[in-house]
Amino acid sequence: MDMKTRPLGLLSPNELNAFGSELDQLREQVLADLGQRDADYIRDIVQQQKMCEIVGRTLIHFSLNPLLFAGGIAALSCAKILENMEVGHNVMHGQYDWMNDPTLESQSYEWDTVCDAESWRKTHNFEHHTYTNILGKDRDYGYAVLRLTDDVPWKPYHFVQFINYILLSALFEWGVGLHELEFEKLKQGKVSLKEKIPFLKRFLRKSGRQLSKDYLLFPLLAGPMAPKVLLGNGIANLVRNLWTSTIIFCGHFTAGAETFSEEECENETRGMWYYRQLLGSSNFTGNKWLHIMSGHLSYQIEHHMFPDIPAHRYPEISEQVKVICQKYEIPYNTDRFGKQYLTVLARVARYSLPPADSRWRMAGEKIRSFAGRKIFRFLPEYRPPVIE
Amino acid sequence: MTSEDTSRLMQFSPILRCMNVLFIQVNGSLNGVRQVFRQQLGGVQCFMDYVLCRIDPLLSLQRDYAQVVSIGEETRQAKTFILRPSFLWKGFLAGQHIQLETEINGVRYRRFYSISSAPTLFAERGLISITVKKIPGGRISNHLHKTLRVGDILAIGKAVGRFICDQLDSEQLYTKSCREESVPIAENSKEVLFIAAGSGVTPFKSMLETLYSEKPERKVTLILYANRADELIFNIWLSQLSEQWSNFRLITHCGEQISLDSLRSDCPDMAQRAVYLCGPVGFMDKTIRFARELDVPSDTIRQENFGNVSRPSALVDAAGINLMLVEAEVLFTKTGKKIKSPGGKTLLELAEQSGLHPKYGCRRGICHECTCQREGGDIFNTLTGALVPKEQNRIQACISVPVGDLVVSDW
Ligand SMILES: Cc1cc2nc3c(=O)[nH]c(=O)nc-3n(C[C@H](O)[C@H](O)[C@H](O)COP(=O)(O)OP(=O)(O)OC[C@H]3O[C@@H](n4cnc5c(N)ncnc54)[C@H](O)[C@@H]3O)c2cc1C
Ligand code: FES
Repeated sequence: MDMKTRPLGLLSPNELNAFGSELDQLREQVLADLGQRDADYIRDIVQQQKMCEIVGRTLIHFSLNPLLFAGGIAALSCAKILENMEVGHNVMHGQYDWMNDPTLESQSYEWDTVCDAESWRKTHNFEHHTYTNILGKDRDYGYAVLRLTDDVPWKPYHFVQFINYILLSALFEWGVGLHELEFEKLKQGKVSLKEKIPFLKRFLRKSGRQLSKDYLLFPLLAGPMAPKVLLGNGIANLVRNLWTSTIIFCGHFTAGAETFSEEECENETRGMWYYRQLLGSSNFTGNKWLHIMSGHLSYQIEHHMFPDIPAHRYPEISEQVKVICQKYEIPYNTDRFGKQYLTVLARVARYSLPPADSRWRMAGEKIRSFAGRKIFRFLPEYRPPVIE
Repeated sequence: MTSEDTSRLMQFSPILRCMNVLFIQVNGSLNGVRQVFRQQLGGVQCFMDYVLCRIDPLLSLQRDYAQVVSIGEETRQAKTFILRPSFLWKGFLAGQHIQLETEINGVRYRRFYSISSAPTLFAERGLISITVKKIPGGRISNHLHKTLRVGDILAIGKAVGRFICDQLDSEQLYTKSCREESVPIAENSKEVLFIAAGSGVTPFKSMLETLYSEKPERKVTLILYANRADELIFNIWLSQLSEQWSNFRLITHCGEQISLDSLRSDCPDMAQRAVYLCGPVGFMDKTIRFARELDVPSDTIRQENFGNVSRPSALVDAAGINLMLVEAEVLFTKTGKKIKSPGGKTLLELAEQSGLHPKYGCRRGICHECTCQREGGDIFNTLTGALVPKEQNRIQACISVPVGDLVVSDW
């Protein structure tokens, strides 16, 4: 399948360099303009997030009817989502380091999930953002659980990957928290458990802290109402997990998002890196609050090109990126949120089945036609991107 | 213990060892629980503090803030700000300074300012003062002059610094009680010589007030340098003090550079005195050289360095000089390691060459894993192709090439 190798070859090296320097210029332009507006924005978000948390926890504790209780859960979920996505994720990318504000400093920030910030900075900021969508190097591509391309050999258990997908979504913070364990490599004996002890210690400390907060401290504070608080906090965490995983999957697993091989990316220039980030990411459109609640990962393309520029700037930047893309005739992958999400589901479903040319062909063929007819009719048909 | 006892003990040794391991394990997990509990408390405290600060920063339990109570003009370039620190602020010794934090266009800047009031003012009325001189082109000094109003609230730090006068009772007490390192205590009988230039007079005001009230029998001389007569900070207060206090001598020099001859004639017995020096770097270097020529033992000189007059910018933007290839020397203050570079090496490479193992990720400026704190020196950013702005102290080591001398504080 050379379907994935061609996109990188579309531009000549000179064009790539020009493309890269235009984006670098754009980056400099925005960096030079950072100031009060950005500081006010993030502080405002932090304040709203804290208010949301106060309201949520208060309602969960003291609400006397189910409606208010549900409201409390909604507010706490919002607070957790805002904290994780618009504050934590962005701050840890170093987007606000220029402010010299110790509470918004990338290297010391700790966020409201079981994932240890130190581990996140390593697996996400470094591995995922450097090797985006390179199969075998970007472990975020499918999280070593999902098969999302035919380049990954098919195994019978992939049949049920839709269940895995739902589990991964529901337990997302644990998946992310344990990501650094590299479970698949442990199993193959590529890394030893011993090397992972420092990580495990950090993970246990962080997750212990998280669990004791949501499932011990706050319930105990509520006294006899403890079970209610336990339930409320649990649901809020679940909602947060489902939402964040959905947003993140829409960033790299949509129909148009490309994958790459290690060889393609050797000796990569800056222009090629930008280009790969562009091809491997996808945006979705929506209103202001959808963007904020997704931590502006709705602008995944811009986020991957400029991970350390304050995220609320992405909407403005994206206009210019689109112009540049048009100039070089490069596809810019964006669509409505719902549509992008359906292509993700379609992809998960599609690759739960073996490739047409494998020894599972017969079985696969049958199931595919069955699936095509019955179960997955509501899904848009999955078509791998074709480049002439 | 007989050999029989020992052998019996040996029998139990596997069990003992197991128990030992178990004990360590249990203790370890208890420690874990304790730690989790403490962290939890930490989280709650942070949250409380956030809420308190929203109500009024002066209520903060974790940071020190101060409110501006009044503003006075000393000279055309210098203003004195009287501040009331929040209730947790611990007090200070004459001669110490505080860090002051202010925000311009979303960026927080931190600068040090010596406290110019006496500790008694703080003890009696809870007030301190700082005196800020405008530096031409200086960002913060001008900003403070222009924007600070009565009632404003500033984030400040605890009083720090060892530029203190250890001839005072209060300070000897302090020395004994809470200072980790001991500063050589000058003989109590020694006479004192203060030498200052420009805004360097600020810590001396605090010391003089305290000396006058605690030890008026001590002989004190202040030599003060300024560019012009109307730039002499605290001029009126100082001349009044010299009239009231017979043991105090004030010598001012306006529009002159310090010289060996003037120093000799101002204070012929300099070698016998405890000498305190404060001012810009160039001035202090010169003074120390002269002092050495006058046989002043170096351990009797204390100095406070107020900052650098900027280096000639020729190196920085002269066309034709490839900044990548400027020789450099980096000091990592945490480990005390030092390394020389012929140029062109990134800070990350240099750190590794000198045997450190700093954290890093992509090594190409994407992930910020290699971020470290610079304390001083210039850096060339290989991504932007320009010098890193002076104000940016958190730098990415993998794309930073030091230009000239550099100090990095967290490795
Ligand atoms: C321990 C300590 C105590 C201090 N106490 C006082 C005090 O009581 N009163 C006071 O006014 N200042 C004091 N300073 C100096 C003060 O911290 C600032 O450096 C000064 O106000 C200039 O800051 P800025 O932001 O205006 O200048 P910047 O924008 O940082 O610098 C502008 C230019 O001025 C140069 N420069 C910086 N500092 C000085 C200086 N002191 N003299 C000459 N040139 C300089 C810089 O190299 C640069 O080129 C103290 C400094 C230290 C380290
Ligand atoms: S190592 Fe990734 S930014 Fe320096």
